[in-house]
Amino acid sequence: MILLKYFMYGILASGILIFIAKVLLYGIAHREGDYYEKKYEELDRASLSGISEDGASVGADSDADRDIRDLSNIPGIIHEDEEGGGEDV
Amino acid sequence: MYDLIHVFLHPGIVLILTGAVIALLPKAASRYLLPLGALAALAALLGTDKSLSIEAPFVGELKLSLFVCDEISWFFGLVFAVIGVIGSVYSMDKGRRGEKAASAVYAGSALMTVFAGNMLTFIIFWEVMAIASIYMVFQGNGPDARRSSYRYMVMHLFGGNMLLAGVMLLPGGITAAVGPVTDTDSLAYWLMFIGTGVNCALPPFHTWVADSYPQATPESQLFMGSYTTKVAVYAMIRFFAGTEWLVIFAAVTAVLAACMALIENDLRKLLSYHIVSQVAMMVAGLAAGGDVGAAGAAMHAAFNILYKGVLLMAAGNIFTARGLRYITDMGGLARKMPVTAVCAFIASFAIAGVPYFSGFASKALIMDALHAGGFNMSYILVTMAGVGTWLSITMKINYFVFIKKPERELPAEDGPGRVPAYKVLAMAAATVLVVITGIRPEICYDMLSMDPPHLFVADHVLEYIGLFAGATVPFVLLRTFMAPHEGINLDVDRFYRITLYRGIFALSDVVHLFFAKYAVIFDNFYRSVGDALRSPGRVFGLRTTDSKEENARSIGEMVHVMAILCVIALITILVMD
Repeated sequence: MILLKYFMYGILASGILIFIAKVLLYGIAHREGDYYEKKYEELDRASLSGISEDGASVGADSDADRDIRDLSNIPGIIHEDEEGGGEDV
Repeated sequence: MYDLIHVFLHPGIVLILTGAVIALLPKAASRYLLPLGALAALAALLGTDKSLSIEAPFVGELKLSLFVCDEISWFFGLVFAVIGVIGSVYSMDKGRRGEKAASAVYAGSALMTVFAGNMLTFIIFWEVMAIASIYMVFQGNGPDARRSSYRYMVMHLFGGNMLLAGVMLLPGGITAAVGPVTDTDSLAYWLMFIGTGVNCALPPFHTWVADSYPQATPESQLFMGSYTTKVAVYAMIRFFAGTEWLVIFAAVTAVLAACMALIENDLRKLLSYHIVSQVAMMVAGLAAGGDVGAAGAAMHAAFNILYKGVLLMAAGNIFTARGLRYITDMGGLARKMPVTAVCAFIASFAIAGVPYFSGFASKALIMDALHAGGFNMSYILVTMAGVGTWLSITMKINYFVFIKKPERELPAEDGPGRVPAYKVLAMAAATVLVVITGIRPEICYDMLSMDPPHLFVADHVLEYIGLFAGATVPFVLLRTFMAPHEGINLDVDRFYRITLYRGIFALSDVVHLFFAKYAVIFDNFYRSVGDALRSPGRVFGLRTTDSKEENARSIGEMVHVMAILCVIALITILVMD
C-alpha cells in the first residue's frame, strides 16, 4: 500500500516538476547563440560610433575602440604616420 | 595560548604554506607537492587535540583565534581535509602551478575558517578564500573565464564587505566569538545574512555558481564546488540556525534550482545548479532548528562534497578526455568511459537520496527536522526537490550522457581521449567513500553525537523506492520531450549583467580618460628623454609602442577593473560620510 501511495506521489511530483521546467524553458531559454555575447557586441558597435540607435550616448565601449579614440583626441601624441605626412588614426 | 609549533601544525596553515611553496618551487615539483601538502594537513588534523585552543597575536591588542573545535567544526574540517587530498590527486597534471598554489591556499583558508574562534579570524580567511577562488576562475578556459572571474569578484567582494560591515556592527565587533546572531531588528543581522547568503548561493545571489564554476578548469571546479558554499553552510549553522522564516525560502529555492538543472544543457552548469539546490536543502534543515537540523545540514554538506565531487570529476573527465561540454554533443559514453560511468551512476543515486546511498541518511535528518518543526509545506517542497534531483541527475545524466546512443557523430576529440590514471583513482576513492557512508551512515552520526533515525526500516525504504519509481514514469514517457536543447538559459543575472556592463564601462571611460591623460604625459616625457639621449634631433618625433601595450593589456584590464571598484568604493564612502 505504501509503495503504491508513494509511487503515485512520485508520478505527481515528477509531472509538476517537468511542467515547471517546461514553463521555465519557454520563458528563459535563448536558443540563438550566446545571449550576452550578442548584447555586448551590440553595445560595442553602438559605442564605436559614440551614439546609439535611439540617439543617446552610450557608455559601453570596447578597449580597442577607446584606445584609438582617446589617444587620437589627446594633443601631444604624434603618430608614426605623421612623420611622413600621414593621416591621423 | 600562543604556541608557534601549534600554529604551524594547524591543518589550514599547513595547506596555506604548501600553496606558498608551490608558488616558489619549479613546476615539476608542484605536481607532487599539492597531494603531499593535503595529506600532511589531514594527518595534522587527525593528530590535533580537539580540546586545544590556538591563538596568535595580530595587531595591537587584537588576537587571531586560529583553532577552536567542537563536533560541527571537526566534522566539516575532516571532510574538507579528505576532499583536499582527493582533489589534489585529481589535479596532479603537469603545469598550472599558479592554480595549484591557489587551490592549496583556498582549501587551507576553508579549514582556517571553520576552526576560527573569533570573527576577525573568520573574516580574514573568508576573504582569502574569495581571493584564491577569484584567481582560480581567472585561470579557467579562455576569455569567458576571465570575464566570469570579474563578475565573481564583484559578487564576492560585495558579499565579503556586507559580512564585514555586519560583524563590525555586532556588540563585540570583530573580536566577538563566532556564534549565533539572533537580533533580527539589527542592521548587523541583515548585513551578515546578505554576506553569508551570497556565498550560500541564495537567490538572487545564486547566479555566480552557474556563471563561474563551469568556466574554471575541472580541477578548480572540484575544489570550488567543495568549499565556498559548504563553508557558507557552516557559517549559516553558526549564525542563523533556527531562523524559521528561512525554511520556506530555502525549500522553494531547492525546487527551482532543480528545475533549472532539469533544462540545462551544459553538463558542468547543470551540476552547478544542483549545488544551489542541495545547499538550499541544507539551509532549510539548519533553519528548521534544533540539533537535528544542524546535524542534518552538516551531514548533507559532507556527503554532498563527496557525491557531488564524484559527479564533478566525471564531468571533468568527459571534458578533459573528449573536450565535450554540452549534453547534446554526448551519448553512449558508458561504453567509451566505463569507470567514469559507473562512478557517476553510484553518485547519482546518492545525490537523489536513494536508500542505502549516502544522501538518504543525511536527507533523513533534514526531513526529520522539518517534520518536527511543523514545516509541512517545506517538507513537501524538499521532497519535490529530491524528485527533481532524481530527474535531472539520475535520469537525465545517466540516460542522455552515458546510455542513449548519440544522435549525431561524436565530435572529433579535442582531448587526449583517455583519462589519466590519477584522475580515475581520485574519482574511485571518492566513490568508495560514498558507498561506505551510504551503507554505514552511523559512522557520521557518531561523529555528530546524533542518535541514528530509523533509516532502514521497511516502510521508510519503501516510501523512497515508490517515490523514485513513480518519478521515473513521466521521464520515460516524455524522454524525447525531456531531451536537452542547445542555447543558453537566462537567469536573474540577465537583469544586472547588461546594466553593470553599461554602468561600469561608462564609469571606466571617465577613469580611463583621467589616467590616460597622465599616462600620455608620462609616456611623452619618457620617450622624449630616451630619444634625446639616443638622437637629440628626434626629440619631437615620438613613436608608439603598440606591441608593449598589447602585452600589458591582460594585466592592465585587471588593474583597470580594480581601479573602477576602488572609485566606486570611494564614492560610496564619501556619500555615506
